[in-house]
Amino acid sequence: MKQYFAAQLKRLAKSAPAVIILSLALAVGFGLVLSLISATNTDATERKAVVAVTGEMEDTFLTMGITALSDFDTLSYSVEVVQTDTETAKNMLDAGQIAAYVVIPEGFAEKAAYGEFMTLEFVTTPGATGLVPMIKQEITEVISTILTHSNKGVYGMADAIESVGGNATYKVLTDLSFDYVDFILLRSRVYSVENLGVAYSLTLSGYFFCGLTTVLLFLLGIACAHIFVRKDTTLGRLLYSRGISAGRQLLGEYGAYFILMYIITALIIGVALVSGLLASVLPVIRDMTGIELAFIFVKLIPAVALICAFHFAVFEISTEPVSAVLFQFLFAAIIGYASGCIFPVWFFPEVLQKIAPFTPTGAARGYLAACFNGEDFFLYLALCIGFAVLFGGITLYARKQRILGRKEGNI
Amino acid sequence: MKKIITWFLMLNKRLFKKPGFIAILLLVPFITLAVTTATKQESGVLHIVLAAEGGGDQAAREMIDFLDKDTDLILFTVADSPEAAKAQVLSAKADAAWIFPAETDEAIARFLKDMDEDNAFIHVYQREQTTMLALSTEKIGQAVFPHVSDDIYLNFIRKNVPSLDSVSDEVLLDYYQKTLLDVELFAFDNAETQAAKENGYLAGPVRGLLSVLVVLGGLAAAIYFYKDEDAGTFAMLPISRRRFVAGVSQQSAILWVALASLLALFVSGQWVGFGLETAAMAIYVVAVAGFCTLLRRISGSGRMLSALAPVVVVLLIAICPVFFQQTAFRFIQVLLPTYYYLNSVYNPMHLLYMAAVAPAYWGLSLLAGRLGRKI
Repeated sequence: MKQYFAAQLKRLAKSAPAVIILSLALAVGFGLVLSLISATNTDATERKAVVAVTGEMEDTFLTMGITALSDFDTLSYSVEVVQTDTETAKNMLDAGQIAAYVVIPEGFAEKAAYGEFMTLEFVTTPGATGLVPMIKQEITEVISTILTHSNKGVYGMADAIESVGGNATYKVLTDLSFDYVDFILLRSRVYSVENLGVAYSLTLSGYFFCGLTTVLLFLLGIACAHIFVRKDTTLGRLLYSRGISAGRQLLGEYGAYFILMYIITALIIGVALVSGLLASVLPVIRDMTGIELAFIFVKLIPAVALICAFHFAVFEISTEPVSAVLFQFLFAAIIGYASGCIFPVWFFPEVLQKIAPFTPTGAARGYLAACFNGEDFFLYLALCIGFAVLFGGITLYARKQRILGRKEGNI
Repeated sequence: MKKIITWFLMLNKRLFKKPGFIAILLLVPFITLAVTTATKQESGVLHIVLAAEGGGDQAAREMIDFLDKDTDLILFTVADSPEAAKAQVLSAKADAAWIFPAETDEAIARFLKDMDEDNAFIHVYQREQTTMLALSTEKIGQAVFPHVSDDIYLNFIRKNVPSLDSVSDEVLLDYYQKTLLDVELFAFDNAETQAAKENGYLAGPVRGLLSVLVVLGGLAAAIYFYKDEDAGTFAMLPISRRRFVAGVSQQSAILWVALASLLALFVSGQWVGFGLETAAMAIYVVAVAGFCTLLRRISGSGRMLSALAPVVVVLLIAICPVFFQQTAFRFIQVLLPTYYYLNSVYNPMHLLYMAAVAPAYWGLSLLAGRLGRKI
């Protein structure tokens, strides 16, 4: 068996350099995704959604309002407002320079002065993500509510004055409007914010790092489909006839594959550590000693074992690369997505949040996170070992069936 | 012609003899339906817990009731006490907790005297500052404003409108309430499809993932062909015929995976219309076939193509609008067929762009064939 294991190592060594180099390229790609996600979802000050305002802009009050929104309002921390014409805004939206634009129709300011509000068209790219849905769905409602109630005050006062035979002067209406504007600009003062910190929980970026690393490792099986997926069982039968059982054959192959995958995983984590990326997304490691950091590499073993066992199960069940590759992608990307490896699991409904840890991708992600923050470590460790044993059992059964000839190449 | 059809049928039979391939074609719509059904339930990008000190007064309860409604993006839940709400934030079960005071009406009156931040009356606990959380606090303004607005109205009248001194607060508030102004200020562009509206934020990436699956189907078929090449399965055929076999087997896999993806889009409610979906997928299949042929000829071996496949997948996911819209790598986006397909659903002009780019892939693959690997 030792000879068979050494033979498998040599076989993998031929492909290893290409796989390792391309895996690191893959890791760079994921680093790119991580930076895009982090920039969209974290840090309130550096990344703003840019919204253009177009259309009729000649009214003084309208221009004052937009200036106030840009310069004084708290929304300006998250949203940058630019003024331009509609055609330019369309081109900027297409080019991705703005997140959305608002079209102010002609006569808007004039009619608004009499309490009639024309509709503003809010245009964005369909399927937009990040801040844009928040602005589109929630912020526009906030603006509509504020406008409704402030105008109830202004026109309610006008009606009350007229009811006692008076005349609501322009000054008194404007002064009340300015009182409302004062509150609107200072509305953030009604609440005080206390940041509790993440302690040993993960930051959002740390969560994404663990999730994307999990998807990356699951996808790496595609790179080895060419090596391991085969329909010919001649070698397996020959080894069996020489006393090397299906289990020992698999152990030799799995051992070599595990070493390759572990090297890749350790390289990815190592490069992230040395480059400072790991410390920036997982602040908990800043407090770790050298031994604790080294121990992280040992802790990775169960997650890598699970992922390798999954790959092997797919390789063994498939007798051609098409279904092996497609199944690995279906699992890594779609099941990985639904189990919280790409969008955080708390984005999803409760039923998926409950199921997620009990999927292979969810268990691997949870375990990777637990390696850094210790939360539910033994639960996820047990899940990883359980899944590794399950997939190992499936692989062993499939190999036995194939080399004993009961189902010749027909799985 | 008869020989072409015979080869086409034989190569498809080769794929369909594998139960694994049939299982994948069935799994695609099933998994898609399961995921999109599950994601339609109550969820939120943010989870914010609401609580009031001592149960809160009527104003606090009205604000909490107002906020505790379903939105696609924010999941609001109500905790029994401020301590329980804070505990959820500390244990990362919630992103933030908004705590309302016991006497909200009095707190509002105190605040309106000078609008000083020292008189802030709602306490927000959050784990870390993020842009989404910063934007979500605008909902506090939306909940508070109706309760503040009538106070501002009354305060102003009492200070500045002596002609209304004889009118009671109740009558003045009556004028305020009776003013019927329900301002729906914004209308949204209708480019957002009905499917996107109904299925929500979380089901959005499904189309992108299915489009990547189609590309992967082509690459996987090419890997399969190379395996057979290495095993000498087609050794008796001349190079030109092997080129044909490689192309047809690749295109067959792409076609069947594309059909499974279309079915998945239909059953999961992502379908935008028969004409647009079939036209977009038909052009996409041709473009992907050219793209995969180009990659097959550039890689030159099954080993290289296997190693390249996950890189292509990650590139498609990161650069194309599968999960995120971004324009930082537009110069790479325009090289990828998935970019055009995903945009063509909302902007049919991209169908034309995709139709223009498809021949470019085929042209480049012919060039690669002349310069290097012929198959």
